[in-house]
Formats: sequence, structure tokens, C-alpha cells
Amino acid sequence: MEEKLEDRFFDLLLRTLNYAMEFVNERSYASLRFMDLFSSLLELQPLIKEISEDEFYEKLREKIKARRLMGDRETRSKLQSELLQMFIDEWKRRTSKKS
Amino acid sequence: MEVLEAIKTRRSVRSFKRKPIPDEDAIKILEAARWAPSGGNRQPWTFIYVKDPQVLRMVKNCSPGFYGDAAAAIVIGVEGGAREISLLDVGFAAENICLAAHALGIGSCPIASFIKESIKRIVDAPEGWEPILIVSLGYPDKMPAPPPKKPLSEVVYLDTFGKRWEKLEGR
Ligand SMILES: Cc1cc2nc3c(=O)[nH]c(=O)nc-3n(C[C@H](O)[C@H](O)[C@H](O)COP(=O)(O)O)c2cc1C
Repeated sequence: MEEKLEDRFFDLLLRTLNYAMEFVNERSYASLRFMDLFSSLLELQPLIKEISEDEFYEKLREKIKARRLMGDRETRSKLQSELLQMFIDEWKRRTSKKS
Repeated sequence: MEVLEAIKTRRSVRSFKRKPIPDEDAIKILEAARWAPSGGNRQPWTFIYVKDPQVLRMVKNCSPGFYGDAAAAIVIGVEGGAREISLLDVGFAAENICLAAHALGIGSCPIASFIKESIKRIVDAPEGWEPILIVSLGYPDKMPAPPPKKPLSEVVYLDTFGKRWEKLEGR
């Protein structure tokens, strides 16, 4: 399904974000931990030279920097929802470019 | 395939062959869903048949409980929120989907672990429509061994709660 490293990285990040969303209403730290993993993966991206679409990842990094990851559940949930929309928009942009 | 045999041999499949599902078979499966019973015959459901690899990929990314490279998936959703009766209706439709698929040699797996908000945005769902269950579909790579099922004698009582039915001993 996912052939290019670029797509695989995009999928991995989005999956991690969704794992974080899955646990956002729980009292455990699971959602926070997945958000940690999400930002660590994002930090890794500039080191992967095969990934050319770095404008999108830069926007994600800025978004996360602007909001503290800790924060309360509601802030985190809102941030996750905004990040999700950025992925959906980027996916639509890329698929319309391909077709 | 006989109905009772289909019920017994259906398995939740999580490993698939890379082989597309013919549209005609997909339509037969969706037709089986359409014929499911529903409370007051309201038929609150909508079935989104996802076969575009790009859309399927996104559905997978946003469904932590989705395993295997399925050839397609059906997102079952309802209008007007997840009322209890609608959840039951979706359950009936989903079982019809799984059994019809199995009868056609196609494996399936019901998936409840997905992020509703993500799926709604991926399929461009209108306000008020809520996805309830996803069923993955594809030709089984490996048919799983039957999982342990509780014996009848443990889950069935006769006439009143707790009263054992001796005919069920050992079944
Ligand atoms: C409502 C419902 C939700 C389920 N959600 C998932 C899921 O998110 N991921 C998954 O892999 N299996 C899921 N399953 C499949 C069950 O794990 C499976 O039915 C069970 O283990 C019994 O195995 P069998 O279907 O082969 O008899 C779900 C089943 C049902 C009925």
C-alpha cells in the first residue's frame, strides 16, 4: 500500500496522532505519551533527506511549538483536532496533485 | 454455503491477499446489508464502500484497530447520533456483511476501534452523520483458527436466570 518513504512517514505520523486521540478522554498519560512520540517523530523528519515535502512538517512543528503539549485535556484535544485537519488537507492536496 | 455452516466458519480475518474484490461481489455484500432487520424498519444506516486505495489508506491510518492490508472496507454510519437502537441495527447489518462476504470466499473483520472525528473528515460526512462500525474486506491470506467460544451450557439458561438445561451439558 505505502511504497514511498514520504508516504510511509506521513502515515506513521498520522497513525501516532490518532493513537493520541484514542486516549484523550482517559485519565492515563497514554494520550500525552503518544503526543510526545508524535513530536519526536516530527523532529526526526529534517534528518531524512528522502522527504522533500518539508513545508507541511514545518507547519506542524510550528503549530506544536505555539501550544504547549502538556496543558489540560481540552487544550490537547483541540490541538489534536487542528493537527488532524492539517493532515486531511495535506492528504487532499497530495492526492489531487497525483490524479 | 449453508447458513448454519457460514455462521460457524466465519472468522475475523486480519491478514489478506493482495487481490481486489470484484464490484459485483461487493454489491452482493452490500445488498445483504440492506436486507438486515432494523427497529421499526427505520434503516438508519448509510454504507460507505471504500475501495480507493488512497481513501482506504487514510481510513487505516485513523483506525488503531484495523489490521492487515484489506482490499476494501465498509464504513457503516447512522443519521442522528448513536442511539441504542441504531447501534443494534448496525450490528445486524454488519453481521449480514460478514456472513455474505464469507459465503463469497471473502474475509472480513468488524472494527470498532477507530477515531470517529478522523473518519468523518476523511469521508466528508455531513453534520449529524456518525460512523459506528467499519468492516474490512479482502481475500484471506490465512484463515484464523477458531477462537475459544464459551460453551452453550455456560451462556444459556432454561426458563429462568441461572437454571441449567441438562441437555446442554458438555456442549
Ligand atoms: C463490535 C465489535 C467490534 C470489534 N472491533 C474490532 C477491532 O477494532 N479490531 C479487531 O481487530 N477486531 C475487532 N472485532 C473482532 C473481534 O475481535 C472478534 O469478533 C472476536 O475476537 C471473535 O473472533 P471471530 O470473529 O473470529 O469469531 C470486533 C468485533 C465486534 C463484534
